[in-house]
Amino acid sequence: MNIFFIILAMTLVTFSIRLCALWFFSNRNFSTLTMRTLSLVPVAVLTSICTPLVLKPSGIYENPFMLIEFWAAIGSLVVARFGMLPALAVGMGIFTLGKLFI
Amino acid sequence: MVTPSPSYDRKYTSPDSFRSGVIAILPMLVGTAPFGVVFGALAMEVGLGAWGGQGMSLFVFAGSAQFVGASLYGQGVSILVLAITTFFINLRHILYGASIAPKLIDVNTRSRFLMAFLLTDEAFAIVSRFEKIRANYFWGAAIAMYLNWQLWTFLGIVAGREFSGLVTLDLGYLIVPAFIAIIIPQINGSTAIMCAIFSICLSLLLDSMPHKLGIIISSVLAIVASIGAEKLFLKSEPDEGKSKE
Repeated sequence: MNIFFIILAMTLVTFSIRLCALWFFSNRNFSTLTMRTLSLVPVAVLTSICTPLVLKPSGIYENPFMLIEFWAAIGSLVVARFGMLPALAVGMGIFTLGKLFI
Repeated sequence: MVTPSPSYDRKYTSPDSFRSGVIAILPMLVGTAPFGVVFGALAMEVGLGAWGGQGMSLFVFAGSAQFVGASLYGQGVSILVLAITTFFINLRHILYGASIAPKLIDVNTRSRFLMAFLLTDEAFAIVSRFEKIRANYFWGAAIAMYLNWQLWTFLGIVAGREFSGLVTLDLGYLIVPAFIAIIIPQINGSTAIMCAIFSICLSLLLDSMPHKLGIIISSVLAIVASIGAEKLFLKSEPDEGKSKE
């Protein structure tokens, strides 16, 4: 398979998806319900990305209290109100120490 | 409710500064660096080569799709399968575009094309905190992310020649703390709390779906369910949905 065509195909597909919504939803007036719905997108998508990484890191259900990822996420949650750097420092600190010593 | 204001409220409008965007995304750059290294190493291992690996980062610029694309390339699948897989993996970006498009202030058509190219999970997470997004802030965050990804891919390609074990590293968790810090301030009302709870439950249920489809399906279902529940059980919450800095 020609690598050039693989990259070209992946680029076109990725760019088209990103552009179509950005284009369609630009310069339009939406109802409050639509805006309300769109305002929930970050919470919904980012939570959906994070949850399996925290609670099913190996792809199967496990006791969350036995997972380093779970305790690292709890640490990040506790300090998240103070900003991204504390959340990152605590979360990565617990995760790294857990992986090294447990 | 989110209502555009003729005079932009500073509290809910992103800074009009490239530098502020760069600074805001710095923690994400740290979190994604190992992914770039591993992708570079993976590209070398599956035979994409240095130009193929770096080219994918330069033009596709979509972490998850690149990992899956490189793996499928190693398995010798057809371009059609690769394109379809890329489509499904990146489907969540439709939600990103829909979410930020109405928030962009004074951005012309040409700029929107480039913004679409640079719209990643991380850039979206950073700019989505604001009710109104100024272009310079987006450029700062997105371009920093782009350059960061190129640098770490390159280092991964170089390192991949020396250390073949790099591709076996389990790095999935690394981006989670930064995303948690983004999510928490946005969960500021009953509907957002319900949305987060629905997302947690649904994403666990749908996690095993192929091509990361569980992410977009659980997101859409969680939004629909929480808006439905709000209509059925809650009175309107005028301030909900606004992200506070």
